[in-house]
Amino acid sequence: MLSKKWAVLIAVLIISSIVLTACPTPTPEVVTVKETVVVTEEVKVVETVIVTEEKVVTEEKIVEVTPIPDAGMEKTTMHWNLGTEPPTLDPALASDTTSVDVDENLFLGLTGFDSSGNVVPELATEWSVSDDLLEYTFNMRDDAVWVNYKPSTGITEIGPVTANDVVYGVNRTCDPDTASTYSYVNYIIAGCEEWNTADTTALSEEEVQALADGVGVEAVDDYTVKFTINAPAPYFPAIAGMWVNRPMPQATIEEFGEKWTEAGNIVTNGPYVLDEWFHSDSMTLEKNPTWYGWDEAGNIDRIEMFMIQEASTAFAMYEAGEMDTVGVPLPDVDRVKADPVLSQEFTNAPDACTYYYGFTNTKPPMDDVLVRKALSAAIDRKTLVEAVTKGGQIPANTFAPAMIFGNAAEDTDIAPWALSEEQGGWGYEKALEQAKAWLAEAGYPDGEGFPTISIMHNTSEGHASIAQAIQAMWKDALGIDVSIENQEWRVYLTTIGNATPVEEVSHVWRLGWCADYPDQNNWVHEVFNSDAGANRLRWDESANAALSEDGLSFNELTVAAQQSVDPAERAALYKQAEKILSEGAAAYAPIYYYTVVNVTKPYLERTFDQLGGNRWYTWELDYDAKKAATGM
Amino acid sequence: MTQYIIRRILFAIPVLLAVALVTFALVRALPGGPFDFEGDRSLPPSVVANLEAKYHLSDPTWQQFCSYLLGDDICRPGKENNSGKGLIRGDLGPSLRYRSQTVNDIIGQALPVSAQLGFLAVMLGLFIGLPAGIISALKQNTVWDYTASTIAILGVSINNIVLAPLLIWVFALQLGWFPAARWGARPPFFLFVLPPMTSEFWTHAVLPVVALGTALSGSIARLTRASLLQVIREDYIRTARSKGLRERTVVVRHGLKNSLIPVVTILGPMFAAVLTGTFVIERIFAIPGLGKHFIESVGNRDYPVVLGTTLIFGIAIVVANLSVDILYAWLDPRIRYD
Repeated sequence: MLSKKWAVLIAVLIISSIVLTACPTPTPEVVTVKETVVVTEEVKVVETVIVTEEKVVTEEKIVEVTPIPDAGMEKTTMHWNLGTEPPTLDPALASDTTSVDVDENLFLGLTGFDSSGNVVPELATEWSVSDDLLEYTFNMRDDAVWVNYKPSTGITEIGPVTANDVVYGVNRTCDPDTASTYSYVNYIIAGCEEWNTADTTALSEEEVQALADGVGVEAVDDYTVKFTINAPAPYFPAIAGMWVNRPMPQATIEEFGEKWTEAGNIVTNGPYVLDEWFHSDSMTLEKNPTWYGWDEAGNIDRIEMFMIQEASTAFAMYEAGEMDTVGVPLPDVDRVKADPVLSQEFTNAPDACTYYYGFTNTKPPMDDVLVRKALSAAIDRKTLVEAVTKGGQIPANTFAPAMIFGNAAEDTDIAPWALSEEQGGWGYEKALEQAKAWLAEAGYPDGEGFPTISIMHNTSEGHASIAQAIQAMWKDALGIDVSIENQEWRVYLTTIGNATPVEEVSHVWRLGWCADYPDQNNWVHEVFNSDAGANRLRWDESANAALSEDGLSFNELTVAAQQSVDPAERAALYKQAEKILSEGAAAYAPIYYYTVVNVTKPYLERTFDQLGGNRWYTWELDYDAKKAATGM
Repeated sequence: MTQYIIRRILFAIPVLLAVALVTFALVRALPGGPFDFEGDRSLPPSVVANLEAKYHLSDPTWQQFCSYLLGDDICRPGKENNSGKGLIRGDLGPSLRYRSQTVNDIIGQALPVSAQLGFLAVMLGLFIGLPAGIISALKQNTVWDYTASTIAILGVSINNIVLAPLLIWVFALQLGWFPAARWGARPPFFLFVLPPMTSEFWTHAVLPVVALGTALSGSIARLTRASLLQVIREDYIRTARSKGLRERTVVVRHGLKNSLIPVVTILGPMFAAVLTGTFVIERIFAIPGLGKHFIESVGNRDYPVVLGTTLIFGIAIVVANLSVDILYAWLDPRIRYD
């Protein structure tokens, strides 16, 4: 009896293993599909699609089917780490860098950015602004087309991208039912805020329609779109090209609902089409041969993207030849720099982000500007980036980095004590003397009588290292005691928000900021204007006190710069605002401007766009060299 | 026995409801909502209001739980955006983070992958751990015992966070035998869970399965050794020996079977834990399993995913414990359930 039971137990285990190892699996759909395509689509043809084949089509419609490349033909393929699952590919809903990166390669905007961060035409060929600066008219090119890609049918041309598609996209972002996270950037467009913030459940259909019709975007003709904005905003062309304002395919969205971005459903108009999307695992893009710009673009036919969250794993895949370019994890930076091969592949490129320490301006002893200045000056930024962060970051004396319009980065007129001697600043020794003098002037000579203050950061090894380094600097330089606390991200953001009682907020806290569009309005105004932003600095009184040379307060300066039409005047106003932020009020301490720390295989010629993001369609890959190097 | 199983399954329903209720209450008690922030920035209240209206988070909490259980049509009749069918109809709701996916989509894609990894790891754990434990017990205080015990302790002690990168470094980067990361199978799977038996699958599976299975085998080996040592000192073993039975018969038929009861006891929760996702291993090897959703959904305040993954884990625990209890009766006929 006993042996029978044992035999049964063992048999169950063996059978389970056999079943698991021997069961046939369905042939992968992709393979079947591609073979079909080769047979059916040898030449470019025009064919009629009947209603019943595509639910979205409600009447007979002419579409053009473009053959996809021969399945047997080798495609120039790049392997890329997306890092994480994109939360969405819907341009109206995207709000994170991963989703936006993919969208930038799938959807065209009216405008785009070149690698230096300048606004350049994309779908728009040119644009003009009315004399009162409140109406922007964009003339669009007529050779951009909507396409759908299915492995079984290849690329199907749906129709031209028109001004109506832009109008639909902008309206959709403003529609409260869409629940777009970034809809607020469109509040500059007339009527968008009114619709987006309306309680539509309390309104009649006619009232809701009136709100929808009131948005200041209209199609003048098929290829001309006009925006009406609420106030002069010289940076508006950048906003018009943002992902939330991309033309969107109405019929597809209405047919598939939230599933419209899935592979097979999605209709796009950019350089690439979505081939496969295995959630949380991988995504593949294919070249869109109908895109008008390939003659002057790069040569990558196919991008296989993995969602490797662990930086060390992605780096291991790079070393194993499974990835063509990746970020370098902090613990590997020294090894990479010392390695004869990897050091040749190493790149440090500026990135449009800034790391900073915010001060709670109304919490003693941080309510004394001399204390804030002393603390900011006593941070040895050069040592911090060389010994702790190690990624070639640039010591910062202002908020906006160099690629942002109106920036004053590394301008020695502003807080020169934050800059190293190489940057033209004071260097740390001189800064330290001044910091001690400021602290003594505040009533704390050599830190005597200074209460213990706290630094708070969100849980992360990198943030902890920086906090510990600054804690040591303040202790050594100023003789003050600092405690460090950390919290989980969302708890942390709640804690440092201005709804938390001031006694529960730490004295000092860290945050970073990255560009949405390359203008100071997105920086000093949107982040630190205490009337417009989150006001985590809690500096109402000082922000509204006249501190600038011409008697304007910080808040007044950023509003004046927002509405000025003279670029030189705007830049001058922003410089004054930056000077107040970092020096006059020392409301926060800028720490460093970010860099991208990366390795790239020699066979890949890529760019590092100053505003971040990756335009894969501009890159060149020497596929023969890649095959030789990786043994593919 | 059938009655017993039916009774246990019926008892599981209120347990799972209680799990849902407690999880629902706890996750909402956390500071920070799903839409308060995007990256470093606070979202304007108007945007948060739109998002909360879309996902019914502005409804009273009791109504949200009611909708989650019974569906929008029952709990919020006549209101806008009614789409959820409720837990009773198998709808676990939308993901608040992954806007085009539902919780059913996420679990449907991720659970089979975690189950494949977990099943293979437990098999490896049993394959190594049981013989090692038995040898260790039977050859107590010999070099065999010391060797097996040392390896078992190492297996338990070396954290996955250390072992997994070590395996990648040795076998992927230095020797180049296996891929550094990723899972070699993608949905849809045969019978929703069985992966394709390709070399791609196996080469990708080796390192994560070894990393996960090694720790399991250590635990199994130590428990098997301790349990078997205890059993073979029992009177009935001495009686069996005195009857003149062969040592092999004594050990296998009388000793081993009884010593397996504690081992089987830990196998239940062990199976449930690894089949429903192992965060560290899945993250290091970039395996698209359920582990990451367990952890990250809390950070994202993705309430429906937190609830869905917790319920899946609860169901796995219930099923695993039920299977263990049934195995008890089979291993020890003295255990009855009537």
